[in-house]
Amino acid sequence: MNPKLSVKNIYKCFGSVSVLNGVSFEAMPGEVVAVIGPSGAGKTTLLRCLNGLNNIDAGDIQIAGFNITSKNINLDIIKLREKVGMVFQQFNLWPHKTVLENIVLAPVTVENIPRKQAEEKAYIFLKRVGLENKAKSYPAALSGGQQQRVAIARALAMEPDVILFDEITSALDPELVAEVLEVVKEIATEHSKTMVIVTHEMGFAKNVADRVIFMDRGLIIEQAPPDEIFTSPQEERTQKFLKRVVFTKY
Amino acid sequence: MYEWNWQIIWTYKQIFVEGALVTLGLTLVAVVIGTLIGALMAALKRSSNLVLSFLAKFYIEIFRALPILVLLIWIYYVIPILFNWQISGFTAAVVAIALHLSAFSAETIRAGIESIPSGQFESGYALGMNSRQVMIFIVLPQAIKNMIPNLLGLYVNELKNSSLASIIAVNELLHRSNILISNTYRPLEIYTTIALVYLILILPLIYLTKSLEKKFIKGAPPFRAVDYESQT
Repeated sequence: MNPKLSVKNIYKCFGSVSVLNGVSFEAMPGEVVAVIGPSGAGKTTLLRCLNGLNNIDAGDIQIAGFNITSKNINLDIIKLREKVGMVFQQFNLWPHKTVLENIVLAPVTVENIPRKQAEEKAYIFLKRVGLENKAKSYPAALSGGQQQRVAIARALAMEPDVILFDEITSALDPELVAEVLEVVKEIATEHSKTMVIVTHEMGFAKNVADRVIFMDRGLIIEQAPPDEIFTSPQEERTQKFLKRVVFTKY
Repeated sequence: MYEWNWQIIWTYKQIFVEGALVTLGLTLVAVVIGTLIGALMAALKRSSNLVLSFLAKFYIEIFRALPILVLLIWIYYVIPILFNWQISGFTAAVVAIALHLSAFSAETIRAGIESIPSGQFESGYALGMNSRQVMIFIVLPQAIKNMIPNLLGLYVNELKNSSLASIIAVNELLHRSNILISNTYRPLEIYTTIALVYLILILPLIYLTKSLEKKFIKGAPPFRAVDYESQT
């Protein structure tokens, strides 16, 4: 089986600050990869390079059949993003649109799906995140956890092959974290979607990921199945980091 | 003691009505053209093409800096000589006001767009939308609410500036009144009346601007934060 995602030796700097210093990893179809590490390790930048929100300076990414390079010759970024979904830390729902409109906008405008059909599909995904009764609400009327679940439904509605989760619980009140992670866990088990999850919730990473990648200062320090990395990390930096973080029950 | 004669105003009321209509028409045409050019300049200034962006910036700086009266006179007297093309006072006034407004409205429109957080753009891009779709469906509907009160403020200013067109004999409110004064020798009544006419034209606009500002900016959330489902 070919990997769904293959990152080879990518580099990225912002001005004089180098954020990614030669990162390589792979993910097989249906695999859930969690990326952990201290702030400033380059986790979010790595994720944003995978759907072209940031360009890479060097290296090569194969993702969902697309090839991202520093030059991006012949890359159809629109088609790539249809296949690679993303959920953001700040939800980024559109406040002037209802929940339903948030979900159908991209299927209708990008994929030209008839609105009625898109809405029917949207209800299926809303049901999956447990919010089918909020379809007509505006985002401002929802809690942070509900908003993030809508954002997940919005990403799912494009039926992507790969979904990128960027610290999706970092902006939430502690009591709302569980409902969002529960939804992600369900999607991970029910669907065979490839997922890359940047997270600070170690318990969640342990629970849901097939493999955990530890990053620090723009490099992958260690990657292993969660049982191994959390119980017997090989690298000193991984050990130091895991000693400092708090484990949650998710 | 000055003897007021308000009868004269009633006699020549037609002049004020027609003058006000020309003032309004002049402003309206200039506002439409100026806002369209302003939107274009805002788009160019935000362009990733450095040359276009620089040209738009240059344009905006020039027309923000030039006094509108100088612009007006220059257009009216210089263009016919340079290009051997006689333009009417009305056209010259429309062009001058539109150019002046375009520079200011460009900045207002740009600021309105840039007031939308980058996450709003990015969530659109991440779903495969192109920049035109993101602008039309996501950014502008939100940004326009921020822009409208400021744009209306600019329009009110240009309505006032349109009185400068009397200098080049455009038949607007002030110019007609000046002619009337030279015929009737009743400056106090007539100047008082045109002041009132300007107030009648402008005060509703100022009130509208203020109430929109309250609705869009200062008031509670700009979007309906009503949970219809949980109410039923």
